[in-house]
Amino acid sequence: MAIDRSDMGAGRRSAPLRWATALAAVMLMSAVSSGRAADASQAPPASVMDPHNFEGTWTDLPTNSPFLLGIDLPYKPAAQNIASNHLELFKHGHAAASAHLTCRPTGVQGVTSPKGPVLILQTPEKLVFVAEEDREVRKVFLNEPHPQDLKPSYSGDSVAHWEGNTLVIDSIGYNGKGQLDEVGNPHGMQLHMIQRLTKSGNGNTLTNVITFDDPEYYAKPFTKTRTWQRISGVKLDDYDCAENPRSDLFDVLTWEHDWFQPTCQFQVKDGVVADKILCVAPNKKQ
Amino acid sequence: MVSNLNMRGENQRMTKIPFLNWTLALAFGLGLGHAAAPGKAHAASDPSHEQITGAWLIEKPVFALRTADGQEPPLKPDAAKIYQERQTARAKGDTSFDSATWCASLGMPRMLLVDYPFEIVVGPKEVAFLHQWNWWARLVYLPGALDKDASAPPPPGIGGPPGGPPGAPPGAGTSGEQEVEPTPTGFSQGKWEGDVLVVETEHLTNRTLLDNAGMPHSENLKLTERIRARSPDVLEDRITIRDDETFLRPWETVVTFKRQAKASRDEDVCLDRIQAGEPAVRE
Repeated sequence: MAIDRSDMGAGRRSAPLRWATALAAVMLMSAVSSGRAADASQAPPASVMDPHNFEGTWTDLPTNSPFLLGIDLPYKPAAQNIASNHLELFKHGHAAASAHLTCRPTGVQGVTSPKGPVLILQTPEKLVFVAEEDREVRKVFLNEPHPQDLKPSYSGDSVAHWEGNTLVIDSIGYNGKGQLDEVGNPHGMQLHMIQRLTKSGNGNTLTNVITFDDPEYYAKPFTKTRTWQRISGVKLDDYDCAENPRSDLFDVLTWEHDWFQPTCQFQVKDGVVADKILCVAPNKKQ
Repeated sequence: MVSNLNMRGENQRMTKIPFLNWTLALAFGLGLGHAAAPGKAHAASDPSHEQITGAWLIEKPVFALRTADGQEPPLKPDAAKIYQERQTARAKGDTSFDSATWCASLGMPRMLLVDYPFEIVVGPKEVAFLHQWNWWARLVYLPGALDKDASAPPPPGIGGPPGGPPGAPPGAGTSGEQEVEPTPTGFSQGKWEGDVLVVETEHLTNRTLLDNAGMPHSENLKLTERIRARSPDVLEDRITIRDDETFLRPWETVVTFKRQAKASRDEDVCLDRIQAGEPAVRE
């Protein structure tokens, strides 16, 4: 037998849902991890020791919170209100619908707090960051300016240059729908993010010093540091966030922005998932 | 809610990668030696491997797959019936059999067949296919890229008991092997034969379609691709499709792509497109 609907049903139940992950994470409220750093028993290849080569697979240190960049940010009142509201929602098992939770590109949040492995590919023209869980693909272009006709996007536009052994990544061009972390510290379209990435002498950690300059939401620029560790030899899995839009999974979300409302849903009643998906044209939504 | 939180751990259907594959891959990788010269950010070690780098767009988007000689694929009767039913449903505007309708992955090989460009980035250990459609990436692992004993820390709350710390990372069992569950892009392992990238893909979920028309497949699907630049501006992917549950015999199709001047920097967000009333997949 080839595929039939019963197979699809089984698959739907196993979908790796981002919103479920987020809430699980909030329940734990701290990043516990049994990960381990690269095995140092063998002499590392030259590419690992090369300070200008970031190729490899990396993961955020487990001591970095993927959910909260901080509560000590220099908020303007609007940002303070948004952050407080989001924290309150999370405490009660709810979340504000965000780009991340509704299967759009994760943007800045994927830079500050990737939850799974990140593969970095590097060519003379660019670095490509492929993140597993957020399925983010971020291209960072070397030695070229931002385009003149930049189209605002969730992930923004990133260009970089080397200052000694530090890669300085300059990102602009955000569409104002993203956020800085899982809880939802906000950022606007004017965000200018500068990362200074430096590899350790043994090649096994990347220090990511991130400066956020967003005059819409913050009174002054501020800087946070995140450290990634090398995890060689790990395969990235697919993260098909949009696979299983069950209506009950949207029940925990509140909707500050209509553009995140789902267009297609599997209706769930009394725990039973409908066989057929229901798609409603945007102009027919209530 | 708690049952949802562990949805992935409870339902994943694991299959093991044969140990032999890993051993061979590692041995092959060590033999090749991928270290680059210090101080140089590098891509492929062999210049001929660079021929496939760059942005590509399919020359003739494929709606319904055909064999390399233009014939109907050798579907078994049950699969042929499903395929026909889906085409009938689609003709009536019902695409509920197609999870790409709500922006789930196109899967392989369909993501290659649609009218959206992709970029190939060739590295020493991986080759990445960066598709514009809903920003999907497919990673092809070259010999030496993976370590059978390596494991990534699971994200908090995944793989462990409800409310407790995460469980053991994938592959941390007694065998020590990384485990692979069926996914839309599957598990792709590649090797270079001269300037041809040969890619074997398996562990593909049966929730995806082989083509826009709705051709089904099972989780036994295995793809062998021979990818090469036929000329500087034409990329060829010769795909052998094996799936003994769906097809009477293995069969082959050939797809060609035209080089694009530059990879687009635009972000394609399928869910936003369907919000705007546009189709999830252009046909």
